[in-house]
Amino acid sequence: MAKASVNIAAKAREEKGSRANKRLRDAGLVPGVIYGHKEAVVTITLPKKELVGHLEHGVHVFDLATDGKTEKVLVKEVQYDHLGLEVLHVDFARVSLDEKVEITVPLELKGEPAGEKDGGVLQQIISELEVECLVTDIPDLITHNVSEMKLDDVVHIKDLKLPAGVRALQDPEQIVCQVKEVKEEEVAPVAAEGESAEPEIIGKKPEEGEAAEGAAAEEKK
Amino acid sequence: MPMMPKRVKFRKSQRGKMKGNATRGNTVAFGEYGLQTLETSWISARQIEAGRVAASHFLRREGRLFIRIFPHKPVSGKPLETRMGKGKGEPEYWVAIVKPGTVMFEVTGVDEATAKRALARVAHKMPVQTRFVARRHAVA
Repeated sequence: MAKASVNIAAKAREEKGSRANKRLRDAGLVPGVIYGHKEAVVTITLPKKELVGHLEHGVHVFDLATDGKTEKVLVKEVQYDHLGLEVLHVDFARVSLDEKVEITVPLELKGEPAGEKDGGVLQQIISELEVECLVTDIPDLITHNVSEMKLDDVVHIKDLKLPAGVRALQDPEQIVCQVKEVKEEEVAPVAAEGESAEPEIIGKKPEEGEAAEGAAAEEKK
Repeated sequence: MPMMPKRVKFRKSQRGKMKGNATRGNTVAFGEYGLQTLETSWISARQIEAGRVAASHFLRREGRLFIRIFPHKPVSGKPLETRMGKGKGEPEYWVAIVKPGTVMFEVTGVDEATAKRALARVAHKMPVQTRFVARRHAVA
């Protein structure tokens, strides 16, 4: 189970806009916003080092202290830069401890499937699961043991053992993982030297030679 | 055989500009580990194929490789010793446009060390600087 919540100090943010936010990021801060519970939207800044450390440890719920007022918030969205290295912005939603929330939790498969000895390869289709649970019950990770999976075995969402109080929101018939045999790749025929294969042009009528070939092929059918 | 589209609307295209960073296709989506480009470039269908062969030879039948880019853009060229003019050349090859952040290849079903070595082999075939990335699980 995840830590109940983590304390972090935030400051109200007056300046808005991309340039002001860039200045904040250069100063080692991350812009963010708090909303929800039909209260006012508050723009804030947070210390980047502290925030990133907590996010990397999978913290979902924070106690944000802003100007003498502490609010319990849930991380709603984290925006990263194009390389996925820097945190650009964080969205927080106000929550109370007795509230049910929808959240995405990582899904991990444990063990080596028995079917791998028969030439199968384990394919994980879903690596994150959308669940509904109480704020205090948010799991860090959902694990599933795949060591008994044979060749062509499939695990659906309904087959997962979820912790008490946690309910999956996705289709129960959705495939989580399967053990499938790897087929040899078909080698496509190589075009003859000098003859570069060209794709078909949409909307272009075939030329006379091509039309004749096409008609002959249809006759054969 | 290198990848190319099956059907296209136009045989030839203009070169175009490659500005900015990747705003889509910049996260590991299908596999566990990926190869992300740090530069903007055209990646030819031959280079993609060379990367695929390099990785699949290394992985043999272990794991699974995903190619996240596709060469949609035709590049034309003029024959040798031809005078300038007389119209645009004939399409010669196909390229995929990549911008900083684009995840080009992904690997799953192998441990991190194997994925790193497989994608390092792919990186050698690419005309761009790359970096190895792992899937990041959503917090929200």
